[in-house]
Amino acid sequence: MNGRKGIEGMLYAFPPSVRKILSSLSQDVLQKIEEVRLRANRPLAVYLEGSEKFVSTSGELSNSSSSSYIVTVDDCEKAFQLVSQSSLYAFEDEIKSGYITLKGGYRVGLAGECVLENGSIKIIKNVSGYNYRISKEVLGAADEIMEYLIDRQGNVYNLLIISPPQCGKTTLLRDIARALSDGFMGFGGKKVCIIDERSEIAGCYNGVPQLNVGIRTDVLDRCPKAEGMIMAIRSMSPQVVVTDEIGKKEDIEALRHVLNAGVKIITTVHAKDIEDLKKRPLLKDLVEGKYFERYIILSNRFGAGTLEEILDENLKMVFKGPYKKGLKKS
Amino acid sequence: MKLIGVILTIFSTTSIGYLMAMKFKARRWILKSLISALNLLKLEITYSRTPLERALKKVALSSDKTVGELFQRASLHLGEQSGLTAGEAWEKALNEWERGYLSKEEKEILRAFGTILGISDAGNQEKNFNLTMDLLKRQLNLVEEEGKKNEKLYQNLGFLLGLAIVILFL
Repeated sequence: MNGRKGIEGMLYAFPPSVRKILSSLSQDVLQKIEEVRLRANRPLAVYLEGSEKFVSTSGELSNSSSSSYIVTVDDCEKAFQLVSQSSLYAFEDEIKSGYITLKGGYRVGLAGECVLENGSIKIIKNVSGYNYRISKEVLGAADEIMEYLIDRQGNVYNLLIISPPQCGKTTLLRDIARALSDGFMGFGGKKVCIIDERSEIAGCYNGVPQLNVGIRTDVLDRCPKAEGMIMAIRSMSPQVVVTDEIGKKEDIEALRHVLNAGVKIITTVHAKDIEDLKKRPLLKDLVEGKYFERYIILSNRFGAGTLEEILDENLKMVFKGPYKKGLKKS
Repeated sequence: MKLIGVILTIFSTTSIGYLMAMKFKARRWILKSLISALNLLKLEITYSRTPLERALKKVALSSDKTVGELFQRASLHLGEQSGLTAGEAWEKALNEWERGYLSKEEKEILRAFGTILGISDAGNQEKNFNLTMDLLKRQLNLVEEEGKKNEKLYQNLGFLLGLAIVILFL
């Protein structure tokens, strides 16, 4: 598990024609690709450094789609078998939720014809849209802020990460879990349990985390959050429970249960800032009841993962941003 | 001198007869092992939901050696990640593996089985397995019936042929 993986590790999951084109790209480009899009009868597109490029048969990138390779229906059928490793039955649940996690923690989003049974999605068939995503693993993303997340005695604070989408929330959460689990200077490492409902935090493949989540970390993969939190406490005796995107009523109830058991919790929520959060009754209760001892607010002001501020339980500022690693405060 | 010749003739024709009979036994054994290996694979797929590459490998390890080789090969081809689908990997393995163990029909049954392998949900996979196993079982019955008739026949025929040669040439 190195710092950041390129697309090479999942080339095998592309249909042969697309694989050939992608392998003809330069190393430099391959490293930068964030997303590859396959859409039946439409041009092959990649995303890198935030912009979209079309790819020609000879492997040239361009802004216009006129000379680009057109993905065939056959490609899409092949892709489906390769992505599901010819084992559709093993990935029924994953396909139902719209994506498959590959070896190495890569994720492939699927769009196609949804087959319904009793009103809920049974399977997606004739998949004609693929989004191959390279998971962003930034080791050390949390290193600089860890000192704000534990007290002098080495106790972990209950933490809520507040962030709009696409601001590096999950990346930060993963690295905090890793840091708490591995331990760092003056901090011994805790038993961590991650409830990973959408396989985003640990990127599990066959139940084994593909991203670095630390040596003392157990992962309940694809497990509903509320159930998972209670299950974890019952069975794995964690000292810290980590989960993503709370918001539903049962999540909050489970969260109270965790806190009552004396276990620390680290979680995230979709919101712009603390005021935005207070508009939601369920979450407002949590803030006013001082359930959380630290709040981290993220934005993408200087790119994903910009740290806006860190607040304590009384909403007093303990760290003022905006700050992004490698960038000076303006 | 004569006596040795007599013994040798009868011995060799009898062995040929036994060898012919053995062929039926071997075919029966292969079919039986195939059916039980498929049953194992079915469980891996419908119950444990093990991805195909690993499921095939597991079955290969716990099956009869000859039959295991088929599953082992299929697993390897699938694992090469050269873009083969499960059906293609299975067919390739089948062609490499088959060395006169099976009749044409039995081979066709296995080929048809491969085309559906891995491309549907667990319920439909189970149907494919059941159908294939039923067809193979029917073949096994045929082979057993044939065997009952022919095994004894070949064994006796070998001995009698030897005896006939001896009497003719004595």
